[in-house]
Amino acid sequence: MTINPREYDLDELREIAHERGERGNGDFRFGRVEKSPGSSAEDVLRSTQSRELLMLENATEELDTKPYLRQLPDSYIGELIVFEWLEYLLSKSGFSRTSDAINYYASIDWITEDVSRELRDYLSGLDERAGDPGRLDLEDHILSLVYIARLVSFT
Amino acid sequence: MADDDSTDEDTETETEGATDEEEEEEEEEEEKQDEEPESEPEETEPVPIGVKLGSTRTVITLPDEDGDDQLIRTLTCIATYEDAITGEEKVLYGEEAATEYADRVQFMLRSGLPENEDSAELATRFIQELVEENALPSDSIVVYAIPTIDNEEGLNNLNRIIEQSGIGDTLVRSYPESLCGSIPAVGDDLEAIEDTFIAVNMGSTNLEACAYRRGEQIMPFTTGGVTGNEVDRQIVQKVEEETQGRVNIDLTTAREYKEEHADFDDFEPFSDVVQQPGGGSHEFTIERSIMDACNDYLDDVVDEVANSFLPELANDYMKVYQRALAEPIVLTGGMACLPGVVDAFETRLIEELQREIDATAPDRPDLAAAVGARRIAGRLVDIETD
Repeated sequence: MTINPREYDLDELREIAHERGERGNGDFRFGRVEKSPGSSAEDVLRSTQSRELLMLENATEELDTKPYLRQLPDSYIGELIVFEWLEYLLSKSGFSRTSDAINYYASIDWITEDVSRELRDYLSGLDERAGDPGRLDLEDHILSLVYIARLVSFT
Repeated sequence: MADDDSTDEDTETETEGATDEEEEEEEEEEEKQDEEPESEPEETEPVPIGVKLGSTRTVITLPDEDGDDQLIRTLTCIATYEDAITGEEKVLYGEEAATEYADRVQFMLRSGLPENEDSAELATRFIQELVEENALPSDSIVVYAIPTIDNEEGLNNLNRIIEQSGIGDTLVRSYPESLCGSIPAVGDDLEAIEDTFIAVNMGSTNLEACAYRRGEQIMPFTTGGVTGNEVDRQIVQKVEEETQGRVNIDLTTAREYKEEHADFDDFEPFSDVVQQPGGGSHEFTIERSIMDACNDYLDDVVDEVANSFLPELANDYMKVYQRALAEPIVLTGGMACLPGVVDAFETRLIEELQREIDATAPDRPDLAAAVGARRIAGRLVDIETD
């Protein structure tokens, strides 16, 4: 055991913080889906995402069993998808709720803990947009699932 | 008559027999009780303890019987003396040692770490006395908040001290003092370990600055040139100047003046009396010495942060730099206790950087490192006992 404060086990420390009971998963919940008149555009988008998920599930065996995403792709395209996904979540809900969402996806086995940690590392390097971030709703999480499926297809 | 005697003997025998029977019954009863299964002793959890072993003060936190934080705070010093009756060597530590044996009290961690064998041995005795007097449990998980100083020998010495301390049998961990001190400032739990921010630890023997990215230490910076101890030395010098050479105070008095009177918002001049050599006393008033020294210190802190630490951070970790400056800078350490220092730091840094920044500090910056360490230890206990 080293006593040098520069050489502490960072993964262990993050696990210690992640293990706290209430925050992250306890405070996390899906936002209500607001039905707005003339929501045909959202309906179309949801339908498109569902079709894409179905296609990816048919093409990718890994989507048959949880956790779906066990590692992030090494490829350039894969990294672009990661950044695009995180930028979207960040712009919608801010840093804290995005971090909570990633924790939640790990808790429901959409992604592994290791992937969760890597995503939070990526996240810490991104800038939070100015403005008032809102909550993520059901459609945002479906979109996250689409991104996860896309990333699975690249691994 | 003989018959009567026989009868008496028989009676006695019967009586004895009856007594023997009673004794046998009692023994059987005791055996039965011995055979009854004893209730197993309850397994107790290790106690979470946070320790900040500072160059001037040591702070230890652990839960009391009600689960609230129990604080042990003492000066990191020790004095030995010979018992007048037994001739045995005895040890005093903390305020008692500094008061009663001011001439030979030793502060073992002057530079932040025990530099040699002698100071390591004294520090070991210090911590053992502290543990024994406060009955700190050996069955404990201890987290130490340690300054980030590049001193391999000092760290090796500290390691030996920790091993002989008598606490932490279950587990021992150590983390940077500036990280531990930031934990109570950022939230009620361990939110600091999930955030990106800059911490500045304003200690008595060094100034530390560091960025933290989800618990990861980024660009740790330390200087021994801007310290609380230097403020005390400056106060000694400035008091002498302000009183035209009439008043010479020692460093302990200077520190006490600083802690009791320094105030960046609302300093008030104060008076004191010294005994003159050759008799008589001299009353004097301090109007500027304390705040001149403190203002010089804060200017130096801002200079180091703005012109040494932040440029290096921006150069190598631009994203972290941008993200961290969007959050309040956390000030910790003994000098962060001075009233008004947070706002004064903020104002001066804004002027230096020509951009908006925020600063914050925990409620008790002098205790924060031990409190943060204790929170980590508490989480380790939860994990260990799951």
